[in-house]
Amino acid sequence: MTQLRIFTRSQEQDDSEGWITATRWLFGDQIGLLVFLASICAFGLIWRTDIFITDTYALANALYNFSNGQLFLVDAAYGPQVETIGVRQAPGGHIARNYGAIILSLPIWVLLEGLILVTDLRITLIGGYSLALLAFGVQLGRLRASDRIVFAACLGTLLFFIVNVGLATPLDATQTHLYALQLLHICVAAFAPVMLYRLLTRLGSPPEAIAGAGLLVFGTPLAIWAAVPKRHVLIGTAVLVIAYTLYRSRADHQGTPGGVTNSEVSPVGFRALAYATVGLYAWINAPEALVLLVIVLFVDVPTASNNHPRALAFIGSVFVLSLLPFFITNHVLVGSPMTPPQLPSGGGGTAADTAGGSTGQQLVQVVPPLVWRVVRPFRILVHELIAGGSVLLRDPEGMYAVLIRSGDTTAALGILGLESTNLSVLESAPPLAGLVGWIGIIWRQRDALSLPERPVSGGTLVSLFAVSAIVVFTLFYANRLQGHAQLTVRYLFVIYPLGTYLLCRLPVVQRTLAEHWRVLAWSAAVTVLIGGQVLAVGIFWTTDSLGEAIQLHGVLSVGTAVPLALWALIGRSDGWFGRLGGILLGSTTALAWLFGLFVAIEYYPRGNSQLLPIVRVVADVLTLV
Amino acid sequence: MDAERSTIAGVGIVILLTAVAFGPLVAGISLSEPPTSQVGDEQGDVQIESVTFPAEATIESASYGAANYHVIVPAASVRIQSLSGSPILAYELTIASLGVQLSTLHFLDDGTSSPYELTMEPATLDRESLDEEYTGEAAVVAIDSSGRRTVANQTVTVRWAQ
Repeated sequence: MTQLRIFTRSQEQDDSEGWITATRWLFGDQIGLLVFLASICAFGLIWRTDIFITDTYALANALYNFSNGQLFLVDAAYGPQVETIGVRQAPGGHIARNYGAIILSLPIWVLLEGLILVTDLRITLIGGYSLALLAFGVQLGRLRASDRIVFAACLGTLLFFIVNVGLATPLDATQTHLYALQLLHICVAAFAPVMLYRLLTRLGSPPEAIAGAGLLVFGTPLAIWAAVPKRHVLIGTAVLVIAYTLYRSRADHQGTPGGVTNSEVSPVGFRALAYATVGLYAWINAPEALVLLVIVLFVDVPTASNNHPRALAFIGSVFVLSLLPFFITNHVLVGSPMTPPQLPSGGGGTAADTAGGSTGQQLVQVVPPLVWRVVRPFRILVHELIAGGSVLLRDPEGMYAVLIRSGDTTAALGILGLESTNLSVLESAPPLAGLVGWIGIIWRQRDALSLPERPVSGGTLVSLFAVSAIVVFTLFYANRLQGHAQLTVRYLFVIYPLGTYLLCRLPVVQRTLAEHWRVLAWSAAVTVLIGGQVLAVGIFWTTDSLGEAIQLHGVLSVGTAVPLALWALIGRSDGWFGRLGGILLGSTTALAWLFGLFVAIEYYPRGNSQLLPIVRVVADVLTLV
Repeated sequence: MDAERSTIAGVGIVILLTAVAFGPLVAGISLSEPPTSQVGDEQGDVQIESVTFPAEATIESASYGAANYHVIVPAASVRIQSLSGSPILAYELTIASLGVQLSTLHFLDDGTSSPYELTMEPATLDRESLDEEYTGEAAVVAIDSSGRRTVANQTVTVRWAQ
């Protein structure tokens, strides 16, 4: 029963060879493509075409100045002035950050500008969304070999498009830089569930993998941040790409449980790809890339079966090659290839200062400058981790507010310190409560615990990577978690994709996803459709402010997370236990998705700037707080 | 299969053509701007006969563990003498010692009946500690074609409901 076939593959292979290869490389298989399209549709639903957080001004202005042929930030088309959060003074002028995302958004901006020469921008974006919806329906119909689904998708899309065009209002065509950035982030974010699906489908059955991808899209704040041009969703996708490539670097020469082999890339090649992902991420945010590098080195090198100098040299050169965009950008903007546009904020600033201060000066004379330059970032990192560790020891209550329950504490400062609008990690992603189940497993096997045998299997390696990344990032950001406007602890964003992975690897969750995915889907749908209305009424009648309404979500999330945690701790999936697990996983997932919907529609509608007119109309009708 | 393909292509073409039709190449079809509420150039006049203010307002703790307080102000009752066009009434409460001012705008029209219940949106307050009692200054301000004027004001006790 574990190997339920939910899709019967269509035998007709009339697509061109190139398309199949591209699909396989990007999405793994046809279901991966389906996951991608579903994610795009989910993110587009809550896309607001406005600045959600002031940090975005810097990125949008940087892209605006690029499009005017300016390297530095000269004019501010977005925000009050050029100097906004995230803008720094370099020798040549003002610079922004996340240059990787800005430069990769340029082609999308060109495409948008080209399109508005002949089409209306709002209709084009509605049309694009409708086409994604159509592609999803057609893909689903073909995978299930059902003409009826395909025709229903055509009819449904056409109706959806017509209704939205009927309700459409013009979209400000001067803000294409912002939309280009948002589109890039949405597309990258949609690869997070795809990578999770690809990873899980190699470790288990397709239903498990699809349900796991669903947990990530709907059960975590991924959708809330998908259209926000910040590093969060980018690192979310990056860690899953690293996890997947690390898995493939071990799995191929041990025989994969999924039975799929892909011999085009060697194990060493996959290891190189993992490092290359880290290198490319440095182009977005160098300090976080450094953290990732240390973690990957720590879990990969000691566990690899082949650390031959030739293999290491190959991996090293691919890594250096992947850093080239980062080096070039730094060289052009800052004048030094090793100096990133952004250093760690807060505690990191002081660490950087001391490193460049008197001790630094003395050391520079002893250590050759290049070695010093390579060592310096690691010193800052160690300083940050120690500072974070001391915060954990000094202020466990604060960490409780960040990780478990945000309310009931005066420390729950909000945006501008006015409202307590920050949810904890658990309140933002209640399905992660199931991770408690691992404690039960470790406890039951406490006598048999030992270091994993070498060579370490792909699954163990990825779990090792996921746990290390969660712990190290928590330490890295521990002293900056409480003062900032976070909404959903966005600094610790890696917890959401990697936590979802670890959750899906829990044996009891694995069995439940494989056998009771229908229960999960129904429970999620019922919670969204009926529970969502009850929740709207509850918010309307019992809350007077945004802070209260958001805390109501927190209370509900923790309230459903506790039974889920107990269920995972018991660890049974037979009979009613399994169905109960499906219901709990489904309802917690739906609560997280409802929070995302309410953020987009009610709490932060940003001047009713929702992309889809139908969503805007719903937001107009509904006034809760 | 052919029917399926042509249906899919048909939907795609409809979407494409619609996007082009609303674009700059086709004259005559374009999206219309939404009706914007014209705050600032209100027309009309309002004359107020009398205003009955509530005796006191309260500060209440937020529920569900939200770390803040709400200032809850009961509605003021306004007797309107005459009304024409679409003037605005603002209901304001200033608590000087807390440094907060609450204000809610009401857009009047022909359908407005007298006496009119002038409600106040709850406001959020984030303070570490509060006193038992504060003194607030409530006011009703009329904004119409003859400008902005305070039509009534009164001192209101603001009590912290612990």
